[in-house]
Amino acid sequence: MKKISDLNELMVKHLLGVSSKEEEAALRDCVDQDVIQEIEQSDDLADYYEIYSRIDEEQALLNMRQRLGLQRPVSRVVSFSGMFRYAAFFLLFIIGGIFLWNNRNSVTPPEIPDAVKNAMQHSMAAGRADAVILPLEQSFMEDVAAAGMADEGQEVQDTLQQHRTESTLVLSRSSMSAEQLLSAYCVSTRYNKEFWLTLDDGTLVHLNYNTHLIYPEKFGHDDRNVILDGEAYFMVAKDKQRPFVVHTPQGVVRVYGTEFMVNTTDKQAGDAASTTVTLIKGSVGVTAGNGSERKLKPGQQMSVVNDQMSVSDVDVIPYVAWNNGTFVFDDCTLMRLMSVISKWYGYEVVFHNDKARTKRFTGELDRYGEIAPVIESIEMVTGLSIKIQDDRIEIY
Amino acid sequence: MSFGYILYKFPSKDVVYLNYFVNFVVVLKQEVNNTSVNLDVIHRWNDQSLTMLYRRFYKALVVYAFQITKDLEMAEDIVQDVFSNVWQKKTTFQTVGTLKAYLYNSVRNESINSVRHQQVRQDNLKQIELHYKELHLDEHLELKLHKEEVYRQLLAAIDNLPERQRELFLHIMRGKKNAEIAEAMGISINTVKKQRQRGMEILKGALAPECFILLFNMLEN
Repeated sequence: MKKISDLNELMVKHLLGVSSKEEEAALRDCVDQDVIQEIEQSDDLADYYEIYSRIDEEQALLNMRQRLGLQRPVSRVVSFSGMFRYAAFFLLFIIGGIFLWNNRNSVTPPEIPDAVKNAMQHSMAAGRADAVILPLEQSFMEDVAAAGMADEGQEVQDTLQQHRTESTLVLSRSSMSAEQLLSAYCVSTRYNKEFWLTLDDGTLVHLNYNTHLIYPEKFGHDDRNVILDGEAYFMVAKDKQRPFVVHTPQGVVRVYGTEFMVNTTDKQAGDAASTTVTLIKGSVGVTAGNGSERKLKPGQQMSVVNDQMSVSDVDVIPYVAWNNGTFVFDDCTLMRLMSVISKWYGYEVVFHNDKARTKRFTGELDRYGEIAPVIESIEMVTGLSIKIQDDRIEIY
Repeated sequence: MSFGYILYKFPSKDVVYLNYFVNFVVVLKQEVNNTSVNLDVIHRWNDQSLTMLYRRFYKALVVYAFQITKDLEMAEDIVQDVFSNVWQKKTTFQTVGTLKAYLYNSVRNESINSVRHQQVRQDNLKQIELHYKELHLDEHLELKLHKEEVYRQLLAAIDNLPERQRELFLHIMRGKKNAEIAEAMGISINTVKKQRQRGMEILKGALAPECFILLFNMLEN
């Protein structure tokens, strides 16, 4: 005798058309074929659903209320007589007014400095501001399709399973509601593009290249959640009632009205995935794994590697400058500098001179200019000879 | 492109999607529990009782009436009249089972009556009466077998699916092949396969266990 739960599973699998031959046989052993057929054929669930989705339950309930002369419980509250009624009404009006006023004022969009506006214009003129925005479900499906998920071997399935378990744990604690995710979008930038995105609440997000941000069309009542993979500069709208939360694979950044930068793509400590959070203005708290939240002060940078947090003081000027449309390098090796420039302009870098790699460079570069003047100025400062040939930058 | 690469590249997106399903199952469980009926509340016969009755039974009863009448407007009128009658009589029900049986049997009889008025051929009417049997109660005054309850839960579950998932599910229920579904929805066959698997897991997790026990009983009988 089969257990009921087994039979349940067999029946669901059958209804959804995913059962194997053995399972079909097992179901037929336990259940009369006529009964199965009756459910499948005479009662077509898909047709029923069509009817079901056309029924307006709310309207029917309203009509019945009128027919039965029922009053909503709310209307009983205002059953005072004479002056009291007016007083109550007036009070209600005032309370409502205050509530609305508060609500209206609770969201303050960030002030956008002229430097950022200029950067946006230059970026657009240079054809750098570009991104793909897709509904989340669609963008996910495309990735799955591209990966050929179903045809991979057992090993991959195991990895995936493990990954799911971990990830679900991380995000299920506090994340978007199902409703929000129904309307969620994924914005993605390519390797040589960037993008400015204004969210529902007025928050301005500046996405660097190779970055994905998932955000709901409308934020919920209780919090504002986005999910980041890549690098982005956030200028968050003030809203005391709804904290702004950035979810990353390594942890969660909770925002208390602020400007900051998050990068999930930096490699540190032997290629372990890491997230760095740099605070420019205001206050943010970072939570990694199951740990407690640690707050950052402006000018501090938090790195999270394998759930370990470390805080250091950094110069925020390069981060602000990046947001304003310039590359700023402060005592940076030429190797690091060239890796940033080569990605941005789409060139390969070849060092013919090993000593040149460790040369240090301090300066500022316009990110929307042509590459030739950029290379010229680097040549001048470092005294090296640099040539652009086809798609390569050769350093002698 | 290897799968490992994709995992590294889009970890957060995968997470969101999975988390979304976790949420969905929670929402669905709430939906199933929220629509449970409290007889004490019903017997107050106030606005709250009416709301409870409608949330729990209205759509399911209309679908039931539609099966017999094949006319949505007529089905809705019948169910509204049945509720109105229940309200005038203010019967005290001993168990939820007796309430359900009363509602479903009233809707059944009214539906068959209105079909009779439409001068349906007699042998057709006989078939309808045989096919949609009156519901009976056991010694505990619970419904013995209740296919409509299974459908109510399945329909509510489908209604709660995200749009694309629901589209996919309806294609499956219509017996379409993976390749046909992939073409209709503009996605790859692999995605269809994967989504089928997901959908199954969701529904299995979301439906109340009673639903499947009922289904099991129904199949046995």
